[in-house]
Amino acid sequence: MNKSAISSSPIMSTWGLSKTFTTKISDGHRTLNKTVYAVSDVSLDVYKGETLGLVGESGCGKTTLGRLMALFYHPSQGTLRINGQNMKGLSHKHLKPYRKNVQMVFQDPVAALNPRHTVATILTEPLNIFSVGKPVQRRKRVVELLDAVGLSAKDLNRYPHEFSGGQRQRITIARALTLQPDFIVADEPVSALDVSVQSQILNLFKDLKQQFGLTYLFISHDLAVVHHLADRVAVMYLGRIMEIADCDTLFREPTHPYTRALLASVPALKPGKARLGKILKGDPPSPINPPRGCPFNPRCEFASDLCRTEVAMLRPVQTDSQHQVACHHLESFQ
Amino acid sequence: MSRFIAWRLLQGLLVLFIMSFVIYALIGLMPGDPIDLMISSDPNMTAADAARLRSLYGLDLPIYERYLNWISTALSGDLGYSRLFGQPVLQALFPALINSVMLLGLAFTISVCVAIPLGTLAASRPRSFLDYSVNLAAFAGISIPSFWLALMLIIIFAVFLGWLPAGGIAPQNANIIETLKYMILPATTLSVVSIGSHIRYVRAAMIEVLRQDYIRTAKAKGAKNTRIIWKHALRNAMIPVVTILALDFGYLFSGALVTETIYSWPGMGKLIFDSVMGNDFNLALVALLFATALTLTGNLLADICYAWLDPRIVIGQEPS
Amino acid sequence: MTHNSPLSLAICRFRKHQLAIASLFLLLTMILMVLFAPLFERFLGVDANAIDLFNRMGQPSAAHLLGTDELGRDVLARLLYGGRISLATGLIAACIAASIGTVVGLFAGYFGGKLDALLMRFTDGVIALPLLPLLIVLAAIDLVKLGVPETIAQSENISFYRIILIVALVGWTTVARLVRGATLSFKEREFVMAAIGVGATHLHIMFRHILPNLISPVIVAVTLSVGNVILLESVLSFLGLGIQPPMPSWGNMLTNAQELIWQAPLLAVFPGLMIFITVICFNFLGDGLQDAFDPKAEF
Ligand SMILES: Nc1ncnc2c1ncn2[C@@H]1O[C@H](COP(=O)(O)OP(=O)(O)O)[C@@H](O)[C@H]1O
Ligand SMILES: [Mg+2]
Repeated sequence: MNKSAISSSPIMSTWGLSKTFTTKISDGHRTLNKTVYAVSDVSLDVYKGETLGLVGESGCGKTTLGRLMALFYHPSQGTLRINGQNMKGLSHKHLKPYRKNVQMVFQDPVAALNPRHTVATILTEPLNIFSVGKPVQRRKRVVELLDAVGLSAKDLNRYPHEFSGGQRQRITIARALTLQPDFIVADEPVSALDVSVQSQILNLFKDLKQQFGLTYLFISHDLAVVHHLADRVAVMYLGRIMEIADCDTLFREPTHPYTRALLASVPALKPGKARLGKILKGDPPSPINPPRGCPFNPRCEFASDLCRTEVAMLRPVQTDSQHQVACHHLESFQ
Repeated sequence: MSRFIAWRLLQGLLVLFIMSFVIYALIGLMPGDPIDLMISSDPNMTAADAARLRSLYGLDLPIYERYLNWISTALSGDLGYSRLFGQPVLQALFPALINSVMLLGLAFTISVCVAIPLGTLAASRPRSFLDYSVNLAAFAGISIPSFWLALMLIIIFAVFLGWLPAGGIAPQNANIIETLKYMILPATTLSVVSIGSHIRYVRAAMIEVLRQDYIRTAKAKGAKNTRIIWKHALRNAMIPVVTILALDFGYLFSGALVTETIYSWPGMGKLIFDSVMGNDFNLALVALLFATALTLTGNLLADICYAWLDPRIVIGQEPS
Repeated sequence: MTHNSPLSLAICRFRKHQLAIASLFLLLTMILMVLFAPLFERFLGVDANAIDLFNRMGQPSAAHLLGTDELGRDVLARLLYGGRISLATGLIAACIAASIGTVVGLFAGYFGGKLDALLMRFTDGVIALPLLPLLIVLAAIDLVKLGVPETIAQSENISFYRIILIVALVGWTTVARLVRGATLSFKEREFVMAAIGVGATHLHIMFRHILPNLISPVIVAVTLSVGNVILLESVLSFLGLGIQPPMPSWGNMLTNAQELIWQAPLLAVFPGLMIFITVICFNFLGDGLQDAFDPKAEF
C-alpha cells in the first residue's frame, strides 16, 4: 500500500486502555456478579492514513476495543486521545463534536439499521443532528454518498429489509461517511456477508480510503482479509495486544508463540520462514477468570514460571523497531 | 424463600401505607364533610357553631396532621363509628366480608370448574371448531358489561319467569335451598365475567406446555393422547393458572362492587359503594383500605405461588 | 408506505382474520353513525332531547324504532348520541393512557437502573390497587375542594373530561410494562449504538429510533384497552358517577332502566347491547391486529 501517505502523527492514541463489564453468572441456584476483563492495558497508536488490522479469536475483545475507540464505551482505565485531545470524563453531550471524527461500521448490517427507517432517513439523520447545510444540500450529499458506495438515488425511499446483505452494509458504510470522518472503525464488516460479496465490500473499503483519505481500524478474525488490506497488524489475545508489526513483517516473521499458532491455522498464508507454531488446541481461557501472568501461558509450550506470574509488556524486537511483541522469551525466538 | 416473602410483605405494607394517606386525602376531597352533614340536619346551627365544631374535630388542621391523628387512633385499635350502620366500623365490616366470601367462593368455583376443562379441551385441539367456539365464548365473557348481564338475568329469571329473587340475601335462618336461590344470579354474573379471562389463561398456558419437549417425548413413547394432556400437561399448566387465580381472587373483592350493588347483596363491594355515596367516611376509609390490603395480598400470593411452583425463578434476588 | 414494508405484510395477515375485519367494519359504521347522529335524527324525524310525557316508555313503533324512554325521548336517537360519548371516552382515554404508559416505559427501559426500579415499583403499586372502588372515589371527589374554579367544576361537560382523566390515570400500566420490556431489548440493538455514534441525544433515540419499533404492540394494547375503558366508563356512568345526564352515555341510559325493570324491561336491553357489541368488536380487532403484527403469538 501507499506508505508515504501515512503520517507520523497518531489520529487515535490509547494509553493503558482497559474495559471491564459486570455480568450475571448463574451457577444453578444463585446468580453472581462477575467482572469480565474484556480489554486490558492496551496502548496503541493509529496513524493518519493507515489501515491497522486487529486480529484475534472471537471473544478476545476486538469489538470492545473498537467500540472504545469509536467512543461508545467509557474506558474503565487508561486514556484515549483523538488528534491529541484527551477524551477522559467527557459526557455524552461533550463527546458529540468528536463523533464527527470517528465512525463505526458494524459487523451485522441487519442489526445496525433501524428497520423502521428508510435509507433517506438513515443517511440524513447524522446531517440533521449536526445541522450540516440546508435540507437541499443534505439531500444532495446523501445522493453523492449513495453513489460512492454503489447504490443510487432510487434506493432512498426503500427500507433496509428490501436490500441484500451486501447492499445493507453499503448503507451502513454510507452512513459512516456522512459526517466526513477521518477515522473509521470497521468491526468485522464482511463476516456476516456471503462469501461472494465479501470481496466487493473489501474493495469498496479500499476505494473509499483512497477517495476520502480515511484511516481504518479494521477488525477481523480472518487473517487473509487482514493480510489483503492492512498496513500494520495488531494481534489480540484475551484483551491484550500480543504482537504488533507491519503487515508484511508480521506474516513473514511472526514472533509471539500465539501469533505463530494463529498463522499455522491458515495454511494458505505461507510465511517465509518455517516458524510456525503448533495449531492451537482448546478454547482460550475465560475473560472472567484470566490466568495470572501472560494470558497465553496455559496454552504456550514455552511457558516458564516467569510467564505464569508476570504479564509481559510489549517491547520492540530490535531497538527502534516497529515490530513489538509481548513475550518474556522474545529473544530466544530470534 | 422466606427472605423473598418478607421483602414482598414489606413492599406491600409500604404500598398500603402510601395508599392509606392517598385514600384519606381523597375521602377528604369528597363533597360534604361531617360538619356539613350536621349543619344540614340541624337548621339551628350558625356558621360560628360550625367553625367551632370544625376545630373541635380537628377539621381545620392541615391534611397531614389530620392523617397522623387518624392513623395513630386507628393503630391503637379505634377505627371509629359507622354513620350508616350506627355501629363500630369493624362490626359493620365483618358480616359484609362473610357475605362476600360466600358469594365469591361460589362464583370462583363455578368459573374455575368451567374454565379449566374448556381451556384444556381447546388447547388440545388448536384451531379446531371446538377451539374457535371456546375462544368466541371467552371473548364474549370478557366483553360483556357485568351490570348489563345482571340486569338481563334479572329480567329473564325474576321479571319474566319469576323463578329467582331479583336481589337481596336470604334471611339468617333460611335453609340451604333458599340461601342458594338468592346466590344463583349474582354468582352466575360474577362467574360469566371471569370465565372468559380464565379460559384464555388456561388455554394459553396449556398450549405453551404442550409445545415443550417432554410432552413430545411422552407422545413419542406412545402414551395415549388424553392421558398425556390430563396428567403431565395439566399439572405444569397449573403454574401460571394458579398464579393468575390468586391474583384474580384479590381483585374479585372490589370487582364484585357493581354486581353486589345491583343485586343488593350486602357484601364488601356494596358496603364500599354505599359508604362512599352515603358520606360514611370512617367506614369508607377502612373498607377501601381493607380492599386494598386484600388485593395486595392476592398479588403477594400470586408471586409466592409462582415462585414456589416454578423452579426456574430464582428467589431472593428481588432486592437488587 | 411502500409495497412491501412491514406494514403491508401485516395488512396481508390481518385480512385473513375475518372476525377482526367484520369488527373493524362494524366499528367504522358505528363511528360514522354517531358522528352523523344529527342527520339520522332528521331522517328519522325524532329528537334525542324532546321530552314527551304522554309517550313514556313506548314500545318500538314506526315513529320510534326502538321505543321511548321514561321521559318519552326516542331511544334510538339517544343511543346515537350516547355512542358519541362512550366511543369518544374510550378512544381518547385509551390514547392518553397509552401515551403516559409509553413515556413511562420508554424512560424506565432506556435509562434502566434506579429510575427503572422506581418507575416499575410505582407501576406495580398502581396495578395492585383495587381499581373500581378507587375509580368510584376519584369520580366522587369534589372538584371545588381540589381548587378547581366553580365555573369549570360545574360546567356541563366536566363529567366527560373527568372520566377521561381518571380512567387514563389508572389505565397506563399495561402499556408501560409492555413498552419497558420492548425498550430493554431494542436499546441493545446496534442501530441504537449507530445513532449514538452520529451524535443523537437520548430523547432522539427513545422517540425516533425505539418508539417506531414499538408502534405495533402499542396499537394492539390500545385497541384492547378501548374496550376496557368503555366498560369502565359505562359502569361508572351506570352508578351515577360518570357521564352526568342530560348528556347521554350508554352507561347512564341504564341507570334509570334498573328502576323501571318491572315496567319497561326493554329499556335495559339496547344500551347494554351496544356496549357489549362495541367492546367485543374492539377485542376482536385487537386480537386480529396482534395476530397480524406478531404471527408467532398464540393469542
Ligand atoms: N456488554 C457486555 N457485557 C458483558 N460482557 C461483555 C459485554 N461486551 C463484551 N463482553 C465480553 O467481553 C469479551 C470480549 O468480547 P468482544 O469484545 O465482543 O470480543 P470479540 O469482538 O473479539 O469477539 C467477551 O468475553 C464478551 O463476552
Ligand atoms: Mg466481535
